[in-house]
Amino acid sequence: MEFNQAPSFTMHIDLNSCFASIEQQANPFLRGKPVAVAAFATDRGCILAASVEAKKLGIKTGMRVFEGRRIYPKLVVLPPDPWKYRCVHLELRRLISEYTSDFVPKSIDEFTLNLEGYPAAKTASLGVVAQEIKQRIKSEIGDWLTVSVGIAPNRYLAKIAAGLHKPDGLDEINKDNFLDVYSKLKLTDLTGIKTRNAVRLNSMGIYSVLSFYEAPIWQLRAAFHSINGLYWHMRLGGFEVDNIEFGRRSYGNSVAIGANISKTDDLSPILARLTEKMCMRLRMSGYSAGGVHLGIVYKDGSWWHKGRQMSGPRFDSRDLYKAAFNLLSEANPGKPVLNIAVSCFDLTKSKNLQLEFFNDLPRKKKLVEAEDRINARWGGFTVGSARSFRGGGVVLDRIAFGGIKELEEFTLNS
Amino acid sequence: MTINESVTVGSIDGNPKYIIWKGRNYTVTGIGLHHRFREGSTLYHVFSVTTDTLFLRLRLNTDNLLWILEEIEDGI
Repeated sequence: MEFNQAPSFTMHIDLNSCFASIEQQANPFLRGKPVAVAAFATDRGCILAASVEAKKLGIKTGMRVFEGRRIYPKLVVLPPDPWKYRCVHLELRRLISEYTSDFVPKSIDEFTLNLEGYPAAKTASLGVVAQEIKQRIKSEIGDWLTVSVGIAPNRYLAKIAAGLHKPDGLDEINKDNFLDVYSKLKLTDLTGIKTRNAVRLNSMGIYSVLSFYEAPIWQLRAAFHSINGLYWHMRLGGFEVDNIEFGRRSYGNSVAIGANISKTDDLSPILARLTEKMCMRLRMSGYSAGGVHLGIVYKDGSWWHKGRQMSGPRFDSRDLYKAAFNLLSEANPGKPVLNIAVSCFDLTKSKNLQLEFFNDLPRKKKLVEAEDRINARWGGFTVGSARSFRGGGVVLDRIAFGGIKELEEFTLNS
Repeated sequence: MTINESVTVGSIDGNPKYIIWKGRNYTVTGIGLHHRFREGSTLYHVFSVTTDTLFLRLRLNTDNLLWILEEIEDGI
């Protein structure tokens, strides 16, 4: 297939070392030093972001704090400060919206922009626009913040281009240079191709990005056993297949537990807290849920999960907690839990309530709405179930990895 | 170091210029980051600022205009 001959109008912007850079922006005394933002500042805490200086030493996201300190004993470790990062995200969003209204936040630190037909792309090349955005981020948001920008005819290659030179890169993949770029990449350098997909491609005799690009569709279909083969063919050819936005299908909250907790009685306040958080978000968006799912990962690496349909659409935290607690009782952990996740599914917009014979739903709705109004005025968890208050010290405000759905929910407007 | 004490802050155009804490005057030499958050309907402004030798984190409650010195660090 011939590579897409159309000019590049898609731009991918990636804020380098997001959480750590923002901490260095806030505190200039940290600049130039290896800094890590970790879920917990304790030895077993998981590093969520490492500064550019820390990355150069080999400290990576996902490492434990003690592993980072083994590499560099003076590593500065900070707990996450979610609102700091959300505010920078909102500032980036404001700035980007001055160039195009057709943009998508892919995560707290990544944006994809389509500039086709917008004045910015008509008066200057995308490279010039990217340089201007980089400069404005420094002057209007933070002088320590750098972004890597990728430009390409489609979203996927724009993301690949943004990853070619980090930090502070600016690269384009287009019809003139794609062969050169592909020849320098390994299969696993491609987003979405990790060991298992690489093995699939290897099984069809594909060992390089160039041979991946040149492979016929039948060969890729055979490798992936699905239509994904065609999608990969289009992506690498510079054609757009990733401009589909999926609607909300579930809400969920999870937490990593530092202490050794294994009893249902000790886990239930954490579950109650998570369920209330989840239900507040569910109701805020005007949904009810038809089912609840519980997932548990144990510290020994094993896991358990189960979902269950409820007797009808439910919006009250207490109803969803009951269903989740029943699942927790079934799981009966008995060994230390590392991570517990609750989610609800089968969402329906809850405009008109289906009345029930034994359940006074309108009354319940009024009570829940009153609770939500109190929490909106005085802050989350001002009122809630007594059990959930005991889980408050464990369930903290955090930013979900790649959690683009949660980005729809936060705002500073009253 | 966490402080969480009420302080007097002199500001121009909404940006802190000096801080009086425990009778001492600290001149702000730079603002690293200004961010906001809401707790319920109350809007808070958080300023991460520096003096010549210190990093300070200040929080302004826009309901009662009370400034809190949340945190102070020397140059690490």
